[in-house]
Amino acid sequence: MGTGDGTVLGTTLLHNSGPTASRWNLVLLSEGYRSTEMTQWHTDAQFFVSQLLAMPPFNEPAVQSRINIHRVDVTSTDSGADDPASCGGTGATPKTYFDATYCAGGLARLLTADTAIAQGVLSAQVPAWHQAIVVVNSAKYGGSGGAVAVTSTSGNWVTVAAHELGHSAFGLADEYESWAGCESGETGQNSYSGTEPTAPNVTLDSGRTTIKWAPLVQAATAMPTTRNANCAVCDPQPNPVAAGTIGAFEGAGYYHCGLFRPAFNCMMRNLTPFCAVCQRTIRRTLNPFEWAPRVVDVRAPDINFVFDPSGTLVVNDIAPAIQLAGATGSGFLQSRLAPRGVAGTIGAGKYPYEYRVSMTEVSGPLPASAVRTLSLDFGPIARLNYDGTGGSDVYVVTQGGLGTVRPASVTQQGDRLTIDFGTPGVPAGTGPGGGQTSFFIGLASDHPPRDTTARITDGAGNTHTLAARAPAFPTP
Amino acid sequence: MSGAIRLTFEYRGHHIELVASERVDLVLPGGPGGQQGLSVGLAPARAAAQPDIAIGYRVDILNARGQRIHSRPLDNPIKDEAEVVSSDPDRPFTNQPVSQPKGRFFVLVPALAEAKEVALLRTTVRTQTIGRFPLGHGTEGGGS
Repeated sequence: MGTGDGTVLGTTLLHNSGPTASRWNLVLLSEGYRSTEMTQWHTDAQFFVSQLLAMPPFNEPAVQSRINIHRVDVTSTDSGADDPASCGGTGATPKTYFDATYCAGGLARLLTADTAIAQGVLSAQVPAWHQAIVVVNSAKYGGSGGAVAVTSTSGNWVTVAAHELGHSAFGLADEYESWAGCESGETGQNSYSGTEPTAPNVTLDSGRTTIKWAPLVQAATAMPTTRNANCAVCDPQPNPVAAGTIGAFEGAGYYHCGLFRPAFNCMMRNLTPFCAVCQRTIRRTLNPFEWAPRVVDVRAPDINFVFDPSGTLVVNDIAPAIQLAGATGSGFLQSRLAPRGVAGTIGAGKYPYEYRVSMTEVSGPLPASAVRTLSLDFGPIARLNYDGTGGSDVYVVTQGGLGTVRPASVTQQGDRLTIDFGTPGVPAGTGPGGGQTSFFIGLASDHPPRDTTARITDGAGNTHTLAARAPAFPTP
Repeated sequence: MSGAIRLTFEYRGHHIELVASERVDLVLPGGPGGQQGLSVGLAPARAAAQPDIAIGYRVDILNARGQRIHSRPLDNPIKDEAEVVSSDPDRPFTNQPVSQPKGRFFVLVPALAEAKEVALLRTTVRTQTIGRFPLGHGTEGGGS
């Protein structure tokens, strides 16, 4: 059994966010689907994609835009997987491409596939793969983890697969507090006595300021948040705090005591949504897969209606001076705030931010006397339908407002937003009043404003730090 | 383009060997140090220092002088236990030991010009070198 028992038909990109070489690539491989069952395979694969991309943080544009999900169509002669009678199975031995079998290692529900065959297919079909899942066409529960994970299509298989991705793709530890099960009578899991785990979501340390996830702990949250009164058993107490609260809950990493988890419930504990700490880890892991925000042109005052039905916004500006060596006069960086979007508008509940670089009153030689880039820590961008064409991340007010210079590109690496005005940038003039200004460049956020700094680079390559406003998003 | 090497290790019980090292055109994931599946690059000044690794496995990339130029922790790559879903929705997972574990695991590391060898190490009470393999060892999956 093996590669002689089927055919690799080809690969389809189910979720395409950009060039594969620059994205985190998740590959779904079909196993135990006959050629006549390819339609079912396509349905199953699409179901996986839609379910995964609905889970936080995979539902965020900045995360989705770093991921490609590939479907590799592989037929098998027969359906399903081997199901040895030695584990109480049916004894079936279907001929399948990846030779999947239950009962691996003598465990009825441990479903594995031939990883070497899977690797060969991956190398040929998606050489830049980061994580693969062999999806077995079987209604019997089973699966296994690893960079080439295996799952059947039984029950809540997508959620269980997401838990496995937490391990193999994002380095998350199990947050549950027993090894063999809380009702097993296990005796070796009472109290953890080892060193600090390297995983980002379990810890020995319950200190408010020193715990790995300290920035996510609210001042009102008790630390530790729960203690287990009897380390001989799993802690039976219910969640004493609001759902989603980040703190230090005793019982994690297979131990009843001594290790703390960040949330009472989490995907890594009991298949509930990823807690904020795990979400943060997933975002960090995917940060290097550059995301290009979608930029659209809008006009004023139409853009105001996104946030207020009256079309009128009461704005609040700061405009620190830009002074470049070798130039005369001052420009400025304008940070503009407006009230949170009014209920019933497209931008309801979102905080609008706008930026503009003005060099109109600066004179000096080019290319030095120009602003080339503006960058600041903006954090997660709220995607809104600014122009009726779908969700966008950045708008540029190219009509009805000030300005002549548009961004050549807008990128975000991690939390850092960079607006590149290209060449020559936003240039000074040859005399006072002869310089140019950028258009207003706008974004929205779920977070209220804070005072911060922005950095600009000029045409000579010098950097300048200026006061600015940006969202007060949670930071590590 | 982005330079990375995918190392393929095969294990049977606790015997592990490198069976392939394949150059791949991809971006390495980021993340906090110690995260499984992620690269933990070392600043040049720290390359010779002891890694911040406690218990477990790690892969070191060595230069021609045997100096460590990159290190990556691995979270239990030998699957000698398996996570099994239970019927309890509040505590849906248990674990069971796997008899005669065997399989493969994969490690992505940056393709560094000065990289010559791969060392696989395991730390329990002390650190033990499980094996040192020349990069380019093994041609399965394309070789390097």
